[in-house]
Amino acid sequence: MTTDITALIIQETENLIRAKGTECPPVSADSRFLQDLPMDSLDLATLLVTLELILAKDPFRDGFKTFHSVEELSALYRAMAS
Amino acid sequence: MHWIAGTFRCIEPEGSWQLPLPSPSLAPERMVLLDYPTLGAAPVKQILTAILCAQANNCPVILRRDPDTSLPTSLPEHFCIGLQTSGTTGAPKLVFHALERLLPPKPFSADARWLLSYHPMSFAGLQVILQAAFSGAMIISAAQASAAEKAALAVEHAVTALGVTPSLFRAMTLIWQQNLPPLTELTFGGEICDDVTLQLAAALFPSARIRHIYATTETGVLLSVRDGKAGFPAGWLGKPLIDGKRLSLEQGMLWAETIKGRLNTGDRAEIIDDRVCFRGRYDNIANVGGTKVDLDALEQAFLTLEHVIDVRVFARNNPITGHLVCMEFIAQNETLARNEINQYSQTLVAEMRPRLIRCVPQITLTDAGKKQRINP
Repeated sequence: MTTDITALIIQETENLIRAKGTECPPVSADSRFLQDLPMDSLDLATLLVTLELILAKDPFRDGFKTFHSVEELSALYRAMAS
Repeated sequence: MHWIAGTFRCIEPEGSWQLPLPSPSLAPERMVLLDYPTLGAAPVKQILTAILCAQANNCPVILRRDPDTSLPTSLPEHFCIGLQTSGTTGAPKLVFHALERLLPPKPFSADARWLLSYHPMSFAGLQVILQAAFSGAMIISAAQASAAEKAALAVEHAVTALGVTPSLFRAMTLIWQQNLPPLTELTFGGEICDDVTLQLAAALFPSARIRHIYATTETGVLLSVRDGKAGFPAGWLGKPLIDGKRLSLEQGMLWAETIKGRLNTGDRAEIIDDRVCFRGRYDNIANVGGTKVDLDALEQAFLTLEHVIDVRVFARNNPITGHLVCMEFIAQNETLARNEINQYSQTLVAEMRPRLIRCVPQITLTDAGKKQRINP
């Protein structure tokens, strides 16, 4: 499950960056969205809505939770699944 | 029951039926309550039976789409019909109408065949049911059917009268193609009716009487426009309209004045060249990272693109920017349409650009046949 969700987030992040016509650097579980990757807040919002549509889960339904990296975001979805 | 003409007949998912309806029973609670989830496959029959029961007992009948909607603490003590508001401007509530205010001034043709495309417990849906019953016409009940099924039913039953939202009409035209129903009455309501849709309707049904009406559950029908143009004449503002109701435009918002008082309709409008043009609901404004985005205006702009047949622009919630603009569209050539959409999007500020764009065979509509805007 950990691998599945983390891999999905990495894949969707890469898709989103490439769709902007931007060169995509390597994305890993440690990548921080707004610091390490060419993403702005609208890109991050797009990623979250995309993940919600794919996974039918919204870890932010009860309010905002802080995350910075792929792994931290993955953990929020895993916490919902457990 | 004298207001239902004897020739009235109905085709519902459960089967076809005609008069007489069951004899009215006693209403010991001094009201007749009908909840939509309990209606089954013959909603028109049950709704008319409930109305006749309330009329015989001189008590209100409440047609409730959502059983969780609260009943008012004080109910009317005479026969009237309670309908639930959509809840777009607050919690859904019940609004009561006299039957005679819902019936047309005179019967339509008894030969007409109506298609019920609206929710049967919406203001527009109930009006279609009552118009058909009052006129002794036939009604084909298809509120729960998909757009494709409604389009097919309209052809199969040679429907002549159709009340429909512009969105649902555009979806049905994609199904009809060369095989059209013999429409003689076409009434748009429930959403902004633009010039493109009116022109399409006139081209497909040149002999039909086409109109668009402006109504709310609270006020009933405010006006009816038959000149083939979107909006309505600016000269109508402040003048008595249907049943003496008046409309005024204040700071871009339409206000309705009825015998019950003044009401902010929640609809935005502006005057352009002696015409009042609807600009959408005030609550169809998304907030994307602090930037206000007019979803109706954005959608109208995308609708003008050559290869886009229909489009729905909507917003989804997210914890980063509040709202995010999304879009679904219909096109015969997806590649050409996507190129146009992308080109146009580049002219918009970043917050206005649709971020999730899907080509779909059919636009997603609510059960009222409208496009949902916020967080579907």
